[in-house]
Amino acid sequence: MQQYAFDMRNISIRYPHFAMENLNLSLAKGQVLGLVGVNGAGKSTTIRILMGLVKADAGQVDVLGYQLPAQQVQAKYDIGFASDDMRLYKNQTLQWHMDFIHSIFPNFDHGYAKDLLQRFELIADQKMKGLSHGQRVKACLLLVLARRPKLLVLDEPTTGLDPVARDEVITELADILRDDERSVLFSSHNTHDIEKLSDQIAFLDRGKLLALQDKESFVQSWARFRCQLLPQAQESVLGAVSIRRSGQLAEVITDQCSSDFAVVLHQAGFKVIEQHRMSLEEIFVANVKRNR
Amino acid sequence: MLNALDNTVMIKRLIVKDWQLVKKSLAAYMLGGVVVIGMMGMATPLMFNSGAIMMITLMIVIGARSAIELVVNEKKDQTLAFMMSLPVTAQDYALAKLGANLALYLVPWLLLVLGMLLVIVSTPVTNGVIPLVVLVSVFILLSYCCYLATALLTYSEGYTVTVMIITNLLLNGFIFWIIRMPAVHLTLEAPTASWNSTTLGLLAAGSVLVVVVLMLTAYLQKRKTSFL
Repeated sequence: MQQYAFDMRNISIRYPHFAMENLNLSLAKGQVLGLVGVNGAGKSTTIRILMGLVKADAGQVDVLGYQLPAQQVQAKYDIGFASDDMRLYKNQTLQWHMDFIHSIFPNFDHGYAKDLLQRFELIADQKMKGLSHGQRVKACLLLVLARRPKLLVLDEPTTGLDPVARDEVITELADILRDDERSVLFSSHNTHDIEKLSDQIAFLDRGKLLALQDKESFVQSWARFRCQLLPQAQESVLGAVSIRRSGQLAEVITDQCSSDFAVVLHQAGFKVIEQHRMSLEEIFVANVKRNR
Repeated sequence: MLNALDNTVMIKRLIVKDWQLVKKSLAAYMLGGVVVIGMMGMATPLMFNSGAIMMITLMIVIGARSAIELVVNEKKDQTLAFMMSLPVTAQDYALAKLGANLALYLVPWLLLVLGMLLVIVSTPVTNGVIPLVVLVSVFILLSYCCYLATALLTYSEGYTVTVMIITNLLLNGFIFWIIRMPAVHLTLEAPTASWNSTTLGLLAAGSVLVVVVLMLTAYLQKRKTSFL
């Protein structure tokens, strides 16, 4: 039987300008799931429902064996949550926050916290108001990681960071997330960050789950073909996500890339000139356009 | 859903956290309160009346700062997400906020009121002003409960400040109104505190309203399905 870190079933929620209908999303234990979506796609809503902060209109949420939102207190002892809009008390030091978290989570690992302080180049006695945005993000991550939660939920933690700080955070996270026991949900609109950290990737747009696959499957199944149009070229090609024509040339994108697809193209009157692998960002954009 | 009282350890922890956040400023206000009570204790009409005005101001400032700093700013400064990531429900959080605010306001409020009463009974100031002092203090407490409720239910600085302004304006009207009441102004110069049916009725109404506002706040908070 599959062991889930979380399992969201038929989740629906409706706001005046946003609706999520029958969202199904789950994460196997020990996996890192990257949730990609543009601003307003529903990433934060999904995470808030997952944390019990928002009650869905319909559906079931199971996190680490607990039903949410009813059992959110028990579940939250094992969930570490950090988001880009999370701030710490500006007039208090990081040490005060560490002591506060320790008073709630007896398993708070001071040795690990000390290690993270060094890795993140943070000073425990510094007040929060003196920290840069990058340092604040690192401080939040330190507080979350030192609890050693079973499930880590990171809602756009790299948003607003400068490229150097983002690289530092992602590099550290990649190192930290090697722990096979820990399950991670990582949301971002930055596909590069997601690509570096995730085992599985989910695309979300306008409250709908567009795709959920492991990273390799995405990269292998999606491709772009540059073709010359033959006189008998058909209007559509089986398996093509999009066809963009320009004079005698066409760009065909597929999500069913295999050696057979080139044959299918040729039969449809498209002579393949070049074939390219697509980046995750390109795959995401193609996915969104197809579904809009 | 877990009963909020099942999570008393966390609720207490959040209350202690709020105490740690405001203890320095609260100590400064209490020091100010001691100075003001000292002024009132000089028992001259000028010093007593000036002290009374300063005391009203101090009570309002302590309440306003408590509601803004501990509730509204938690959302404004985006520390609410941090708090809600802890093992608490929205109801636990609201209960903790209600408890912390009441404790951190009621205790100083009570100490200041008792300090004023002590000054009145132990100095030549006529004890007849006691009902007026108590009624005004209860009105300030009721005002505090109203803007605390607004802060807890909306987390909006704009709404909370609006209610503060309205209650402060009403306070002026209230003082003007009760001072003109024969049941109050005819006994102001009396050597003993004169509690009659009017003043007792006002006291009871104020106390009931305080309880109603707090209970309504807890009830409405419990009905919320969305937090953050």
